[in-house]
Amino acid sequence: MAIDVPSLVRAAGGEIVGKVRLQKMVYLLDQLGVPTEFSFSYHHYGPYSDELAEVVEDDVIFRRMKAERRRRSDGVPYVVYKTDTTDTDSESVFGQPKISAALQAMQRSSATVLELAATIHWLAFVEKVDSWEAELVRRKGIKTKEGREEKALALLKNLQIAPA
Amino acid sequence: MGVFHNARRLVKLIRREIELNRVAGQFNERRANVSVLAALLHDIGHGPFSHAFEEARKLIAERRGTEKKLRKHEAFTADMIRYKSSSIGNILSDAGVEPNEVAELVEAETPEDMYHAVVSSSFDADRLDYVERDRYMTGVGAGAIDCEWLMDNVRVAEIDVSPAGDNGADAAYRHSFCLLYKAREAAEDFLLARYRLYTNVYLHKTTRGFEQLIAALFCLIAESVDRGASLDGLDVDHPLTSFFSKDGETIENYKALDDGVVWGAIHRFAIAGRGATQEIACRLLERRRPYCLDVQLSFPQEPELQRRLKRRLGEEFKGDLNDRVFRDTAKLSLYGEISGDDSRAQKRLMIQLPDGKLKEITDFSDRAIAQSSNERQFERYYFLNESDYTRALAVVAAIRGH
Repeated sequence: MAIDVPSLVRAAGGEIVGKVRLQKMVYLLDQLGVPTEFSFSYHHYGPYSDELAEVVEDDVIFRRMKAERRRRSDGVPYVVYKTDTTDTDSESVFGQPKISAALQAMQRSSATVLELAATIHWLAFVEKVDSWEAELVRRKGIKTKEGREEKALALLKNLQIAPA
Repeated sequence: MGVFHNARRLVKLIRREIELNRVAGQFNERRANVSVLAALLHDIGHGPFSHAFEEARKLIAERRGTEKKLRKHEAFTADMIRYKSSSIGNILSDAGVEPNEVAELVEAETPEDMYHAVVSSSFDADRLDYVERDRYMTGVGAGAIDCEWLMDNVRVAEIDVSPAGDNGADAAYRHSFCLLYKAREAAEDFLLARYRLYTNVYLHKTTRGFEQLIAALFCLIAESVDRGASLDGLDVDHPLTSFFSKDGETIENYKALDDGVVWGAIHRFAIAGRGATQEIACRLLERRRPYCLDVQLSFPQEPELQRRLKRRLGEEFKGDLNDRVFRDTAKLSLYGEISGDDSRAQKRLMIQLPDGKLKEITDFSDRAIAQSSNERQFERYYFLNESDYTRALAVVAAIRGH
């Protein structure tokens, strides 16, 4: 059975900001051994699952969680997934210390860093390209600058899923 | 050629902005040539019946367990430009342009500079071309655009291309196109025109239905190749057989495929094929569209009932999917079809206010267009047999409580 996304949002503090953040968090959780049962393929922002997107839409339509629409200061729209935090399930997989710590680390990272971290993992372990460093710069360009690539790699090391 | 023409206009526009000191720096002639040639060549890697072929390759790769390494048409385009035995590379080199640089620009995922915006942005050469050309060629009445007025009001600005939602943390700025505030209504018309092309043409249920049939035919060919069996009507050395064979996705095999080759195979299947292959081939030749059940049209404005119908149809036809029954899904926003997390950052249309600040086009209180964040779903089931279609209609009736 696939993971329960509202439980994930609850465990992440009741709010996950943006589709990119949610998708990359679930991809990285999958790599940590959480049995998400979603299959991922590579898209513009890195690993992405159609099945996860569909489950999220179901959860919103059937009011298992909220999708709040907001805008960036330049008006660019984005969505925030929200749940109440009253009945956090400590028995769920997200309550495990390792997973809980991983969720906190991912929530402290920007969406761009999560995009880079998930892409590094994908390039190194799924596509198995010769040099993930070169391929990352080729695909992500400006996003890898200003220390963001290093932050993404540090996150993967923290999660213990970094390439050698 | 239309894209090439527009690219040349956009490059002139970049030169104009630099000469008027509205953008810092020197005009880069070499980079401009790269972008114009990338625009000319950007679609040469499309397979026959482009969308249907790519969709079929995705299904085939999923069945074979090779979907993680599935190459998209952009990758084939880049390969063809770089390909040593191709005349394209030589022609580019003779023109003083490095083929690899053109290939890299075609493949680039993340905005690089204003020359990249010619090939990929909210106002790129391809969009400007197909919005006018497809409207004219299909005879769609809706969606005229004022191209000259738009061109006059295009500016170059630094745009944040990072995913939204981080409150400026890790913002990544790159030069791209935007439009002046006074052209906002023309810009809305431009986006709306494209949206209508999607709803009326590209995602029309009949268009997509025939694409499903063609995709199904490609899948049947790949299945027979996987079984090591020959498909009645198709020679063992036919380009389609070669391409779908193990390790057959080579540039040589890909180049041998075009619409004419596929139509030839369809005619052969209609005469000498068997079972589903012959049935689909005859349907295509006789323009007999499959039966269609549209989930959204069955329950307009009722997303819960749409979801229930989708789930029930999924259960009802689980064993028949991709055999006699086909499921087609697409998501559309004001910025076009969405595949992946979100619309690409560089495709957002930004409006430049008199003070130079940028604002996304749907963030104006008096906007005439819907919010881009509102995605529209398209979900259809297609059936080869009337009996299956009747079963599907019974599911709809049961949900309606009849």
